[in-house]
Amino acid sequence: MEMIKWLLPNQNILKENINLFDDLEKFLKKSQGLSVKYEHLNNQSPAVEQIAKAAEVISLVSNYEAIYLESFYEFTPLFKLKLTDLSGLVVVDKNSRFTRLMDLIGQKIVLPQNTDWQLINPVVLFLMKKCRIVNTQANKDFPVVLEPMELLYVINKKAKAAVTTSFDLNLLPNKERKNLKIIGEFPVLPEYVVVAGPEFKEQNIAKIKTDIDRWISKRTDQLYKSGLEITSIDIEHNSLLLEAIEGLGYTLRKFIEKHNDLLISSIAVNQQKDLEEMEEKYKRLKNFNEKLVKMYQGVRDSRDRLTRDIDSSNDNTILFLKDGTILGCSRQFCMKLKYSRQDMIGKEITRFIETGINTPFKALIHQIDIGLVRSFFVKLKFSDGTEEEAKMEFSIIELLDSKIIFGVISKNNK
Amino acid sequence: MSRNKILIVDDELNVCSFLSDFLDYKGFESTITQSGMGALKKLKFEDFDLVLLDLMMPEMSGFEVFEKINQMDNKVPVIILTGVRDQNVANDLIEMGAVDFISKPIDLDRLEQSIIMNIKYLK
Repeated sequence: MEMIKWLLPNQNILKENINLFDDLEKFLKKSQGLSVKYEHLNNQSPAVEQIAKAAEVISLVSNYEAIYLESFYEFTPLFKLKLTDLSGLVVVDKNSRFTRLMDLIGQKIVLPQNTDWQLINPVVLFLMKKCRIVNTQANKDFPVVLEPMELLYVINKKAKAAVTTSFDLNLLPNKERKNLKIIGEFPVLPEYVVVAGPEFKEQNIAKIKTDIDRWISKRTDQLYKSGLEITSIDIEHNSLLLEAIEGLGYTLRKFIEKHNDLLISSIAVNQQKDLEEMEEKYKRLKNFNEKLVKMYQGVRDSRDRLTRDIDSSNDNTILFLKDGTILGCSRQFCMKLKYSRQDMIGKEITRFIETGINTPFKALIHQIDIGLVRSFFVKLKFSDGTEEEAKMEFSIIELLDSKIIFGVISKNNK
Repeated sequence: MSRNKILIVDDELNVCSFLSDFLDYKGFESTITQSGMGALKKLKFEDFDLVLLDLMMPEMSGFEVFEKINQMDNKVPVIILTGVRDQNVANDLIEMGAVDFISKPIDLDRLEQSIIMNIKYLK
């Protein structure tokens, strides 16, 4: 039986803990007549150098090392192991002239505050070094809970680009998503890639890949439960990473060498405890994400229903967030103010309504929120510049973990 | 022409200052106090045209303060402001002599009308 050598990044941990490779070994033995011999990389030279020299091996490497081995040593990536199905996205306005990462040099961009992003991620490193970061924490009144915050900054033209996740983008309603353009996708967290050395090309690599695809399809559920995901290789992810690495002034080899220790420790997992913790962490993250998606969908559905009801109401009604952003208003109300609904939705309420007393509208929103005030006279500001006094009643609508304010004109003029 | 003086009694500073701003804007002169004892002291030494009294206060409740105001020689109209929405409580307080009972969240127009009406009527 023919023997293949499998290089493992460090101790015999992955084999013992996931049983993934044991399983793959059995499968390859059965389908290809191959037996597997495991060997560990030593600490004497960079991992990528040792793997590159051993042309007949299969090995688990970081996605950066995989690109390098593929480009310069004719290795073939077989499949990818991911800890999360989240993708990072660089997003710009649909009509903007930006099409590449390089176009964003010197521009205002929004980065999520989560530190997990900065785990040796060249795209994030590039943006941090080459762009102007907008501090989203400064605006505490921004509706963080209801909307994917960093995307709103782009929609509202407060930043030229935002880094977000596929998860956040999916939370946006279609009509808002249509206003955005994705200029690149990249993995949020480091990914593992199983690569085969150039010798394997001679052994009908296509056959091995087909068998591995069959093997993957049978194990998707099992891996999903353990918080891991096996996927095929996607070139799109790599192009943005390579552009970022180049933009940082590195060659791929230099980038791997510079970050080798961190890449190996964060990606190859050299401690059993680390692996268990990472698995546990991402299992929890995955479950949390799923719950969050359902919750957000619930919030959005109920908010959308409410907005539709408000829009079709025969009364002069308006629905807005605590920061004053108008979510919906009845046709009647738009007609009264002589604006189109498009002119009003998404805009600041104080453009259309001001209080009839010395307390500013936003301060009154706070008083409505804490339950002190429910009704007062307002000045309605018409599109032709005229004003009219009206009495409005306000109430708070609680939606799971956020609040919306509903206003209705109860009396025209004093 | 002197402005009508209103005493605002509420343990929450936010409520006091909001109502004070509102009343000042509407042409009244307001004084605030955050305790029942403080209210009684002020009423002993100063003349007010009306009192806005919160019911739920620590130490001395609005009920107690109201009873003590009722026992004073110089009677002053009291409007009860409260988050309690119990009609029986409202009826009891009106029977005891409160001129109005306004529940929170407040309709500011209704509050203004009540103040104007009660100050005018009692003068």
